[in-house]
Order: sequence, then C-alpha cells, then structure tokens
Amino acid sequence: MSVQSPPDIHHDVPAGIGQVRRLLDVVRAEMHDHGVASALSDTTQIILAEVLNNVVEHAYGFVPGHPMVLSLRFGLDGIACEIRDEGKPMPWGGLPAGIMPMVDREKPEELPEGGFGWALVRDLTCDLRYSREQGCNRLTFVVPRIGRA
Amino acid sequence: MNLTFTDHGTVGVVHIADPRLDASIAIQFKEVFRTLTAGGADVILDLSAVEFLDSSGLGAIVAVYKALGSERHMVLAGLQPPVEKVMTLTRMNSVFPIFPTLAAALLAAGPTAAE
Repeated sequence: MSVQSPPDIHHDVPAGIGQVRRLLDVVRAEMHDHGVASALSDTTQIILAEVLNNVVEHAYGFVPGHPMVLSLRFGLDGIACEIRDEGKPMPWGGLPAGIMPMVDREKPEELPEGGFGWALVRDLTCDLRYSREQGCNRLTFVVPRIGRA
Repeated sequence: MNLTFTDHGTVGVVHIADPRLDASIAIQFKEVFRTLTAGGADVILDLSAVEFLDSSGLGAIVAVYKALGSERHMVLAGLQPPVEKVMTLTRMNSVFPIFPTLAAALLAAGPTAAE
C-alpha cells in the first residue's frame, strides 16, 4: 500500500440522504476556504452528490446511520477523492457502465427520469476505480483541473 | 422545501426558494409542483435561487414536465452555473427552452404574462 499524504478535507459521517445534503454544503465551504475555483468546486459537488447518494441508496438500501467516509486531496492535476462505505458491494463487482441516457425532445413521454448518475461521474472524472476490501467499498477518482471540469 | 406559484394568466411561474434541488427533496418537489400547477396553464420554472441540482433533482424536473402532458409547455429560467452544467451534460438543455432570467421568460411568454 502506498503512503498517502493526509487528506485536505476529511469527513466520517453517518449515511443518510439529508446527511449528504448537509455534507455537500460543508465541503463546498471548505473547498472555498482552500481557494478551489468555483468551476472545479461545482464539478466536484456534482460528482460527490452522485456517489454519496449511491452509497445511501444502494450500498445501504436507505438504512441510515452506517459509516460513510470522504477524503479529498488537492493536487496539481485536480482533486483526488476517496469514498468508503461498509455496505453491499457493487452489483457484478464492478462499476456500472454509466452510459448517458438518450434524450429526444420530440418524444417527451419517453424522456428518462434517471440513469444520469454514473454517466455524470464517468464524464467528469479521471482514474475512476472501485475496489472491495475487507467488507468495504472503496471508490477513488480525480476531478481534473482542466478539460470538462 | 419552499415552492411558490404565481399566476400570470397565460403562464404560471413556479419559484423554488431552496438552494439545493436534490435527492432529499425530489419527491416532495414533484408532489407540490403537481398541486401548484393543476390549473392548466404553461409553466415557467424559476430556478434562480437553486445553486445545486443533482441527478435526482433533474429526474424530478423531467417527471413534472412529463406530467404536464403534451398540450402544456414548460420553460426554465435563471440557471446558475452548476445547474446549467448538469443540464448541458445530460443534454436536457435540448428539451427545455432556457431563459437567463424570469423577466426574459415572462417577456417571451407574451404581453399578458409580462404585465
């Protein structure tokens, strides 16, 4: 295991939908205090919202109170993020494909109401990795400073 | 969650005062929106106070739009940068007409609405 610097932002909170909302508010303020540009901060919040809600909804099946650990490290190339939980593993043991759902304005009755989450995460991150270690889910990625961020 | 409805005749304005339209309020948003817009006019959804939209919030916007039915129109107004980013990435900006401000959306809706 490689030696890592201590995270610039770290939270260990009980999982829950309301908790995600509050945590993102706190993380946004912390990124601002660290001088993170607003575009990079916005992108990071969009991604964190999806992966943290995924932990609450799928890893823990909406049962609140289980651990949810978030670490952010600011680097030259972007923000390295790590999210850990002790919930169920990803179905099939890997990350969903995350294909952006088709949108056809001519067929409003068929517009997708979901399926955007992993597509957004895949679009906006680099080095997206998932592992299952000793009963824990570990998701890591970098939100890049350049490109689509 | 704080949703308000203002009747402008040919169009109704739904204003959401919550800074985050996210998974924690998506269901409530859908229910209240449907009640407020039961009248039958076209709808301007004023998002100028919304600083953040996640995919659940986006899904809720799509759901209420679909529930309006094919005879009614819905436009969006006042998107802040993070909200616009989600709209663009998911290509939902191709579905909804988007106006920079509520005033611009009302102007586009016609003289009766802008009064």
